[in-house]
Amino acid sequence: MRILVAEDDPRLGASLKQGLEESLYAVDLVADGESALALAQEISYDLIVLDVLLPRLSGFEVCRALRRQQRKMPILFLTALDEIEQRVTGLDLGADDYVVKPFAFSELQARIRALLRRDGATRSAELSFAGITLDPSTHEVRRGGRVITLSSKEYALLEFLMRNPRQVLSRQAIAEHVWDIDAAHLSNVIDVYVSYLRRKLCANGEADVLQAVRGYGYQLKEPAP
Amino acid sequence: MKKRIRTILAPGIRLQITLWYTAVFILLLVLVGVVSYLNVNSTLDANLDTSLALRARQIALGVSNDDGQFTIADVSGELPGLGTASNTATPATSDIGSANGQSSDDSNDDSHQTTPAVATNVDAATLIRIFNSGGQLVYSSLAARILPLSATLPQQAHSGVPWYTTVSLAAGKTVRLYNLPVLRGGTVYGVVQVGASMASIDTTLHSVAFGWLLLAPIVLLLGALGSYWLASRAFTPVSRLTRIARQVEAGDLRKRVPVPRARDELRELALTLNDMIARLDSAFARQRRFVADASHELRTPVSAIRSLTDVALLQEKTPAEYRDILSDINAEAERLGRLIGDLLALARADEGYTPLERVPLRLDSIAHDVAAVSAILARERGIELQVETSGPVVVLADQDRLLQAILNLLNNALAYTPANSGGNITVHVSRDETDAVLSVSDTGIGVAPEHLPHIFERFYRADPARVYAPGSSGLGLAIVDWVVRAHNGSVTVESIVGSGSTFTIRLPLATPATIRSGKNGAI
Repeated sequence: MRILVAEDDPRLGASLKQGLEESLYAVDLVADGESALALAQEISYDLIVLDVLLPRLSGFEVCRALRRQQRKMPILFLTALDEIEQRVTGLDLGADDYVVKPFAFSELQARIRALLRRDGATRSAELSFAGITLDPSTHEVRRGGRVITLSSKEYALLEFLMRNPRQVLSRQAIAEHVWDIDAAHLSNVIDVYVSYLRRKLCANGEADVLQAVRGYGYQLKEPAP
Repeated sequence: MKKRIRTILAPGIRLQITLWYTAVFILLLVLVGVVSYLNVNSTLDANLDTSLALRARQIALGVSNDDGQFTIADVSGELPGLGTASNTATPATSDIGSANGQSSDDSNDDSHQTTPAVATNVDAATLIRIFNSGGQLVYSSLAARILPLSATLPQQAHSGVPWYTTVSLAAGKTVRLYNLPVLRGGTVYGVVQVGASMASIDTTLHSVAFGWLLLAPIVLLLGALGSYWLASRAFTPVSRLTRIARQVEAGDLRKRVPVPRARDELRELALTLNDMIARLDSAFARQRRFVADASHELRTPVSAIRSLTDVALLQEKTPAEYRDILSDINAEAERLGRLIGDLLALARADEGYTPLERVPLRLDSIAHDVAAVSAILARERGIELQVETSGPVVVLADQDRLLQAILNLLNNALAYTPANSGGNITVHVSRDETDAVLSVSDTGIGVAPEHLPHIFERFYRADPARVYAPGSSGLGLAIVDWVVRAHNGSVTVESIVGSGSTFTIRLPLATPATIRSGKNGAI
């Protein structure tokens, strides 16, 4: 899952990026409102963490512009502005959540998980597909009672596929949601990661659920009976 | 206890007004009483005098002197005792004898037997005497016989002008006498004297005074009650104002007292109250704004520290990574400390508790010292920093505060001058006749005209969001403003968007006199 973080405080921004990356998300960090809007218009992020007081363009303005352009990704305001009116303004502009600084990182993680499952196929915290389960809070992946140990990229890839089951996903889309902007040009390594993931998921001879769509991308599909 | 006594001793405004009104009433009553008493007195006196003169003239008509023969004819019918005497002519000599002698009492006794008490009572009886030019009594009414004779009568009569005399008798009785010289051919040959007791005047005056004394306390009482009632009525609007003003609490300063339409003192009071409430309101609003801004500014480093620690604990890291995180936390804590220091400085300034240790300082040297510190950051950001001074400039200032102010100006210039783009900052120190002048000019982004008036406000940022200003608390320029004003100086800013800003501090030059008083700790 790919997240855009717009935070102008350099140390806090870097810390957010690091923390979210350790939570196995692909994170892009920008320090001003204009860059945030430009990136959000170009890339279909799964979630945006937005500070309000940003140079050049405020977080409120970024949110308003995105909603006007019918961008539906969840937006979470992370700001020091704690007055009721400001919270109301933020939510009324189309934000999905409003977290006031200072915050506990674990709460931010939980809220991000909640926002990511909001539009998903299931409302349960745990994702499951054809006997494969994935817990976004513990990053634990199981298949038939067997715990599967995945690398962070393998995990991110599986999470994205499991959040969009049965859909045919282009390599481009997978790259956008699994890798951050620094690795965007590496989208051709997706095939390699898919092969790693397939090997681990089918290590005990289980049926393959990762269907390749020739020349386009991949699809998470129930094994043929 | 003491307070209670004072409360009792200090009468309320209503009682005060009542007392004042009553005092004025007393004064007026006394004034009107005295004036009307004197007026009545003089009117009565004048009336008496007029009637005496009239009567004397009437009697004088009947008095004639032909060839030394005194003739008295009672033309007015007012001469008792004449009725029995000759109606046409009485020999002066014989009449004088009868009038003067004791025997005349007897001769007149018969005719006045019926009213002897009235006749001898000067208060009720007619008092008439007629003298010849030598002062000898020619005729005297019965009651007039007890009046004393005046030795100066002939001399006074000589001028031929009538005159009044007042005679005091035994038993405290006073008689008013009108003396009318009777003339024939320009020669005084006799005097008609008509008198009347002043007892009736006294009686009238007494009754007037008595009535007044009886009436005055009643008028006073009614006046006092009336003025108390009026005072109470007059203060009803004040009570209403007070009641509403009491409802205006610190929490809700949007309320205002109603302003009466009439242009009077109450309207003034209401307007003054409203003005005061409005000023309180804006002061509280400023305070709330300041607290909100302060808490917002404090949140940023705190959230950075929390996030850094949370992420550090998220999973195992290498010692180098931990070192990085720790140094970041350290930097944020430092920033937090700086912010708290700035807030505390301004809070103390607001309280008015800011002891300034003023000593003579070389402003030019201080400029070099501060620039030397800022030069490190300037080099890092690729900005050229130079100091221009021309000889010593001495001011009387608190060294720490002055250093802080100049450092803040330099930090501000560094923050708003883009890095590595040939930026330039110049500190210039000079003096004119009265002031030391220090200016900090940069070639930075400048400040738009609409922001200039607010630039010294706390937490005011020209950019609605922030520019990159590491460690900036948003209080730097507010502190500069405060420090400079605390030193009786001024700070101004000129700016052109895109080409830079110049901040100028003016401080009074130290003179031998100010140095002495500063050293004595008088400031």
